[in-house]
Amino acid sequence: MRPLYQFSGQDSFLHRLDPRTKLIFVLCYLLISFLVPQPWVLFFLLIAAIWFLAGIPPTEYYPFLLLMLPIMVAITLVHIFLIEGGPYFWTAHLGPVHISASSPGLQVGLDLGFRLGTMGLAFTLFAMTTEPFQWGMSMYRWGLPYKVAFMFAFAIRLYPLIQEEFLVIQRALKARGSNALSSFNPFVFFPGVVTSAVPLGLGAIRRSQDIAMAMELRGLNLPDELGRPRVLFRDVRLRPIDIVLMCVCVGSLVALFGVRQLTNWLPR
Amino acid sequence: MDPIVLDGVGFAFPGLPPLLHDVNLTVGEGEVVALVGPTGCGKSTLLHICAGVIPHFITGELTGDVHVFGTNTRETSLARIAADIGTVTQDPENQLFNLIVADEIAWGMENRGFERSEIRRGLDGALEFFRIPHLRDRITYDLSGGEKQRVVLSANYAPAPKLFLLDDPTSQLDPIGAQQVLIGIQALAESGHTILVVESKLEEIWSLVDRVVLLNDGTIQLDAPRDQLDRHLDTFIEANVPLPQLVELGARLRARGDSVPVLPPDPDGAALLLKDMRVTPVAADTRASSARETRVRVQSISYTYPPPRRTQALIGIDLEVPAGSVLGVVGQNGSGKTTLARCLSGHLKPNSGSVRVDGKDVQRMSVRERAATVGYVFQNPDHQIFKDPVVEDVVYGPMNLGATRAKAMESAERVLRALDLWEVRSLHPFRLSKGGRQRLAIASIAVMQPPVLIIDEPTTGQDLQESHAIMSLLVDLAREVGQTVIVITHAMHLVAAHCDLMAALCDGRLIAFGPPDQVFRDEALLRRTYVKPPAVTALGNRLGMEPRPLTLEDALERLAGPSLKVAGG
Repeated sequence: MRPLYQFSGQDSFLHRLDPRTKLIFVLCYLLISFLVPQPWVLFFLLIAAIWFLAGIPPTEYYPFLLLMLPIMVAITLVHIFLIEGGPYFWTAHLGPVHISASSPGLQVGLDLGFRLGTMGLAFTLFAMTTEPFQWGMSMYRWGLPYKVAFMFAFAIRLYPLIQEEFLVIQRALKARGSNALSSFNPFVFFPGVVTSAVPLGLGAIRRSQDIAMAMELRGLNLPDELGRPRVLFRDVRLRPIDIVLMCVCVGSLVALFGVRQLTNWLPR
Repeated sequence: MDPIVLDGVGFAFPGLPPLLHDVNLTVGEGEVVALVGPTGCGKSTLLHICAGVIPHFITGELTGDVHVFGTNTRETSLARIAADIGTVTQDPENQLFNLIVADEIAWGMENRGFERSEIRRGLDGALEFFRIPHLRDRITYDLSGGEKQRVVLSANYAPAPKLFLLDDPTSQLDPIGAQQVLIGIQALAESGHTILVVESKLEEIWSLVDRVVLLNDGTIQLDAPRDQLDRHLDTFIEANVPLPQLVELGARLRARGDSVPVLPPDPDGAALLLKDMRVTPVAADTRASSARETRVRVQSISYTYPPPRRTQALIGIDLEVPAGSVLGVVGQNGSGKTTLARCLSGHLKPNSGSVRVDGKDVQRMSVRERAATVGYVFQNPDHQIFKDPVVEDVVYGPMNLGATRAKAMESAERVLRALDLWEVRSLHPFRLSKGGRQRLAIASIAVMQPPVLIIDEPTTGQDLQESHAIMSLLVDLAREVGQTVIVITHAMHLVAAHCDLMAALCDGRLIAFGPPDQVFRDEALLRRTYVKPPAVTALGNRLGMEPRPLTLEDALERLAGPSLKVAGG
């Protein structure tokens, strides 16, 4: 099982794309998911894309899918019972309270649930196929100061470590007889989160101090001290395929938006 | 120009008494100097002073003069001091900032403004020097501990610094990882680099060092060439710093009046020099011989991690551990030790087979029932501190299991007193030393009185005295309370000295199980999982001592005096 949002470290078509291309793709995809009438198609298309273009089967990121499932189900249920208008596929009377489950509610709920799932999945695609360093350096190329871009990339590199640390703390809590972090009861779960925040937070503070010192010792501030520019050994540059794909993404978005404005084919 | 000159150096953290005082030390060009001393004596602080971290990054009251390559560290910036120094600390995880190994090694050169062609040459050179060209495109967090630390060494080596400061770089590694890193340090030493190294396992770097500096009570107590150390045995014993076992054995034999030469730390060399010693047979160790009922029964368990890892971590393990005994589980990282411990504690469900404690399957127990039956102390004590102060952290477990506050407090007092923590019960746990936090982690689990107590690496980062104190405490728990204690460790001298039984794992299989005296005999088998017996036991194997000595005292007792004939061998 891969921790959530961890880079997969493979070599594939999606991995080789420039992070900026993938970022444009994700943004366009998010907007497109609001334009098309059947977002579940996009959801499964994205799973297929991750599988066949990045070589990552769903078994490697199923924790994310499992995490999304209750949220998607909850959104659907809320809409089923809140949206009125027939046809109703289930009704019940509890005294003065009239409860009914509407088919339009089911439709809207499923659409919203899958839209949310699609968005999360798009970010997962980005995170699993984009090396944090490249992401940081591409932002540096777009004008972000080096230290900010590097720290941004480093924070992403640190994320799986913190996630692993959280799992260890969860096991340590169980060893002390507390199952709080696995509980579905919010009155048990949230105090458990607060309890686990102590070792997690203090560990993170200690780690960040050690890391900051190690960075200083490896010369993070040397270019400023010496007044010499920093050399990037592995530069990030857009390839023709990146530019083509960016154009296709933006073009598709504009085209769909145009179709939506000019015809009744897409929902408003 | 000498790389390091410390003249009357002292240091105190804000609001605390001085940690260092009157430190005078010169490290010449091309010298390899080992800095040793008990835990908390200020070894790392002294390295921080040499690296310029103090006073530029860590503040406090620094007195005296510190010159690195002739420059007073107070008068220049940390970045400029660090440009000539490669610094490697204990935890490789805190020294890797990039995702890909090649980026990590190139990063220091990028910061120094090297040309791309120079960076490429430096990168290739560092990879070759530390024999890791195969790691070039690997992701850093997927590497083993030894590989990570070699990447850190390479990243420090690539910009060609003139001086290396190494702060116990093998202390958090398994035997194979430590061996890989030591080969790297050996290459550095042989290529003429100046090295100041803090190393708790002096035995391992014995052949590399020119001088050994003993830091104790805040100052340098001894600065002597390596080959003269055995003349200062009392100073080392007093400072609670171990010399290599066989070097100490030679010194103690001579102190006893036996005519033996200075012994090398390796058992083969020492055995040659001692082959004419008379060996006295003694009664066999009866630690594990008394019959006790089986407490933990492991039957044919196998475990494979789910995708994408898919590693077959345990393969058909069968094990029976009696009540009231101490079992040491050994083997290189990845051999299955932690997976076995997690299956024993019910944190992982084996794909096949079963684990029973007093006849009950741990997988059928609830979280609370498991916590009350199998206590698990994790490697890092800081991951297990949930409450403030110390006493509240200890009562947290029993209260989760349903104990009343009064009852939990009563148990906590007993355990805290036994672990020498009662006096600090009102402190925040993070104000304790690492050894104190480790004892607190044990107390927090022991207070729940589980019949089985599993402890992952209880002595990491502890000095010899603290390590033996923790192990003695675990033995007491086993003997007096009847708990079965399972210790995962890489410290073979502790297994030899304290465990009744040991289990050696290799690639998920149990390759040896029995009393240490028996298991340590088959060195070829143990080598498969990078386990080496303690030097005195290995010496016993070579001299045919019966039973094998497990501690230095055993060896002293059995080596009776000069003779041309080995009695009972």
